[in-house]
Amino acid sequence: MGDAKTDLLQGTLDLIVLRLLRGGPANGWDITQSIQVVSKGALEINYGSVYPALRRLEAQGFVKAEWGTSDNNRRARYYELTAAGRKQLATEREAWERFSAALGLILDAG
Amino acid sequence: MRALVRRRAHDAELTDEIRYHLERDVERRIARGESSAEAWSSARRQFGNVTVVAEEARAAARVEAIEQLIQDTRYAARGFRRAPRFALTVILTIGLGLGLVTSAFTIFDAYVLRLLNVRDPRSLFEMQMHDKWGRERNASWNEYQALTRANPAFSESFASIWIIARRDGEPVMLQAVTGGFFRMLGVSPALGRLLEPGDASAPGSGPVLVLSHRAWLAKFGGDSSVVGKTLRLRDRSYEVVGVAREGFDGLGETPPDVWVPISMAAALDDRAAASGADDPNAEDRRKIGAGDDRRERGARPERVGNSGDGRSTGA
Repeated sequence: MGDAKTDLLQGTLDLIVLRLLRGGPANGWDITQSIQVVSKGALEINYGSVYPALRRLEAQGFVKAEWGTSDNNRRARYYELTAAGRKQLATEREAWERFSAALGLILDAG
Repeated sequence: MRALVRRRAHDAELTDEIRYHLERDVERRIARGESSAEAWSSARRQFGNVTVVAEEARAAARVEAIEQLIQDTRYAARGFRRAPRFALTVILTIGLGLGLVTSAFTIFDAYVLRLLNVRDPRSLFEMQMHDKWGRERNASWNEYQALTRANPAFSESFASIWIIARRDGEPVMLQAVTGGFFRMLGVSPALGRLLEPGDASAPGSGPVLVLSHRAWLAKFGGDSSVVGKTLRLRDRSYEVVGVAREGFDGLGETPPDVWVPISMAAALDDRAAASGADDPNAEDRRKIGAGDDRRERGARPERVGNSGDGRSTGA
């Protein structure tokens, strides 16, 4: 199956969600809209995939969730980075930098 | 053999979350001039398959590793000896992988997770088998037996097979269940009787069926003389022995129309081989879970349910 590919995509989305939560608590809808805005529409995902990502992060203790009221006065589930989540974000970001640097070297070589 | 435990209270939150998301998207699209119908359909398209999302989200939140489960059940078992009234029941689903094809959102919407309308729902656990790649798979009959035979943590269990048949051009949703199903869930009949262990004694025996209350009203107009009538499904005749009480819709995502003994599953489905078959991978469920193979457990001490719904261990 495409398991490795799926893992890569999952991992990337998880990282994106972590990064977006750095700006403060948000619900799933907010996050999908941020992805649109911040990537200037370049990143096309099925919005629904954000929800398994959020639950993965929650299961790992990187975010915590609480029900709250949205700006249009409705009940929504808000996610917030935990300390472990912040740490994970830094670690992953670093790993990503190293990976893309290495990739750059290979692609640019001879 | 790897098995995971799932708690259903968790899913109610997911339903609400997704509904909120879709409503926001739809509102925005309507504000931009789309019609309500267009807005819903484009919002759903952009969301992706709701059923798949729900499955993956559930999979992502699960407790992994049977080691953890075993520890938990040992802990729970110690608790039970002190508080024997808490009975943990195991539900193992042996599916036939028929791939229920339905409108994703309609089914999901119908999946309203009020606390399950059965006796002591908090003590119910569902066991889900996984293959070595972490994908959900069905259990074989022998695995079911092995799991439930000498397990001190679980007082009762049942297994079932899902089958779709057709009658008069309409689909009929059947659940073929082991003998203790109704008794374990504390369901009473509205008419006649429900299935009993004696009905499922040998393969092909017990061509009887129980109608769901909903199906009884919809397809028989609530006619009380339905008990004793015969229903033909897949070229076999089944005697209607009873109607389940109102409000009982089974435990799964889709309300069954009819319950039959599991011994009839082979007769109803060409691919089935219920009793005695040791066929773990023959009918992989088409709904493949996210299969997250992570070994380390999250920092949260709670299992799946985020609603603060603790385990009913009584310890």
